[in-house]
Amino acid sequence: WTKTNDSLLKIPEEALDEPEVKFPQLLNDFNLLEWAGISIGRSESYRLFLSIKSFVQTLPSEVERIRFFGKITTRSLPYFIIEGYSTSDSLEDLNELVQEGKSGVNKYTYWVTQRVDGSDGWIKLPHVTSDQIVCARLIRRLLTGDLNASVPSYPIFNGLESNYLRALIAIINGSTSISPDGFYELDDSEDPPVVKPVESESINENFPKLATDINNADSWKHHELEINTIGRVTALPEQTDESGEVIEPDSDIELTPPLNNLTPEDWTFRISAGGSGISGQSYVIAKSLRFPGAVAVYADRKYVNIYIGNGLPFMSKSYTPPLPLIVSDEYVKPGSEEDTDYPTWQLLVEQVDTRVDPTPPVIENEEEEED
Amino acid sequence: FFFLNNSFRMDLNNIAKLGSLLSVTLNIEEVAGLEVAMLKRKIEENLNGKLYLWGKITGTTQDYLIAYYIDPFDEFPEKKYYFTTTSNYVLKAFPSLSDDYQNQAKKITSLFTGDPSFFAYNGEDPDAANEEEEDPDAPPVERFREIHRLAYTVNKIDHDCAVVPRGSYVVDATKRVINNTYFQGLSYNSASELRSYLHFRKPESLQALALLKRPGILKSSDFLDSIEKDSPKDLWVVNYSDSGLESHLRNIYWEGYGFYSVVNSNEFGG
Repeated sequence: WTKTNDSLLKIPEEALDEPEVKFPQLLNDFNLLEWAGISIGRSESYRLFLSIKSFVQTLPSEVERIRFFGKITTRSLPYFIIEGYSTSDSLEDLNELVQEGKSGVNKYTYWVTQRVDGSDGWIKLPHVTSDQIVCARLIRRLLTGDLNASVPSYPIFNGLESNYLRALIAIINGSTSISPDGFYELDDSEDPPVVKPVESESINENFPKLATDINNADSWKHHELEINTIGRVTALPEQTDESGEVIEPDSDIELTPPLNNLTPEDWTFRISAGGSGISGQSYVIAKSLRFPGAVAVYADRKYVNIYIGNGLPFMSKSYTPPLPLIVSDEYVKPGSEEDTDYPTWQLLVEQVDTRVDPTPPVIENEEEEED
Repeated sequence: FFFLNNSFRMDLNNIAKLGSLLSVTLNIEEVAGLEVAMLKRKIEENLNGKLYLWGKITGTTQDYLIAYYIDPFDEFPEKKYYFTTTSNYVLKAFPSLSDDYQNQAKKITSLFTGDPSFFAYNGEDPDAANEEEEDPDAPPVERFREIHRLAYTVNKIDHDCAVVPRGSYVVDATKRVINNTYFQGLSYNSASELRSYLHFRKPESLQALALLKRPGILKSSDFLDSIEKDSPKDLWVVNYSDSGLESHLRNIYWEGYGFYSVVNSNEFGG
């Protein structure tokens, strides 16, 4: 432990080149978060910052920005997670039906490590598929801390713990990435409209806002797209059947609009430093009630989103797994002899109790038998 | 309800440990307010021992900060709790709970609101109830309020979670449970075993009770319930801190409970 931390803390002798990948000013963010009562420990925070910095320098230059997503606690060691946005357009191995690409759920790539100093390296998480998201919502399971652990569950989760973790991150990111109104705007030039950050001049004009203005759910917006019921953010691509005709999906699946408003019941707001009177420069803290541990802090011209928790939403009642499906009847080929309105086995009736002696009657006439 | 709870011997000075343990901390305002409130309470009641921080329970509008006091001369150290809300830092004592109130408290699963006089749990309309009270000078109606639920919850969490290392408390010749000043701390290996940790509460297991009834001096330190026997299995998770200098103990059911003990030293807190 001392060896790895030593190398992290060693100040490089030559001046570093301007890094190509932007990394967050974690130390400032952690100061903001301390007002919300969130901290991973002061020296741990600093070491995490250093290990992210040194990791970031090994990434290719297409990775544009890195954000510290948070920490997910497990049954053994926690996962520290960073999120990166890569400008390269294509993602390898994507099956469009099953997974969404850059415009959807897989917009960001995530790396995890289990030790603050990154001594076991930052591991990249695989991309997520929509059925993994749907399944992750139905099950409730703590992470074990081993990325290669299986996830036994009902409904059966199709992947290992690294996929489950990625699905949890996707769900949390979609539901709890919020910022005060004015940091992001809709860019109507693209179809569908895309959320993009506002120009810096306009940030300087609009902010800082009075803390009392921001202290309610109306002034905040989701700046990440929320995931709908089938686990996607954008619409399904059109599926063509064998003859090239477009298959319409069975039912209309709703998409949430980008830059959505918050549901007020899901969030609680505080203003810090409330005792001495609320000034315009107080921090405003928004804590999620649906995902306890997701916090957004706004101060002056900056905001921070972070998630520290165990990955599961808040449930006031105990979790019950979904009941198994009704056992299907055996398939009856339509048009055949057995095709009746109800399956044949239902026509079976319990055999009547025999009260008659079933032995065949003794044949008295021997001549008949010889025939 | 989202809470952070760390109960034993958590001085306001040890708050730094909370970060690596539970990823939470108290912000400066809370620490400053608590310092004043704790000292004030100590002077008012002429307390002999020390007030410690138990933890914090978050509510939707405000949070509760809870402190407790152990009387060092009691037979079995009983904790007396105080609470305060983050809007005004004045520590108040918990009311005692009747059985009926305890039963009511068990059933509630919603979040704490942060208002100690809140009582509309079963869909009652708080405004309608206020209209019934015609006389504004009459004392408030005796109802089951959030403060009772808070008292019940704090007691329950403490019952399930308060942990001390084995050997840090002993029974002296007068059958009193006292702090062991010779406690050297857990060794590195035993710090990772669940059997090195005991519940700090009136013992409930048969073995512990039998030990306490024996005449003569009690040498064993097993008069408290071990956490190893808690069900379900794997309820407690032990790891070492990054440097291996401390061991951290967490409860999976009560997610906000954390306990740390420094290896080979008698420093610990939870």
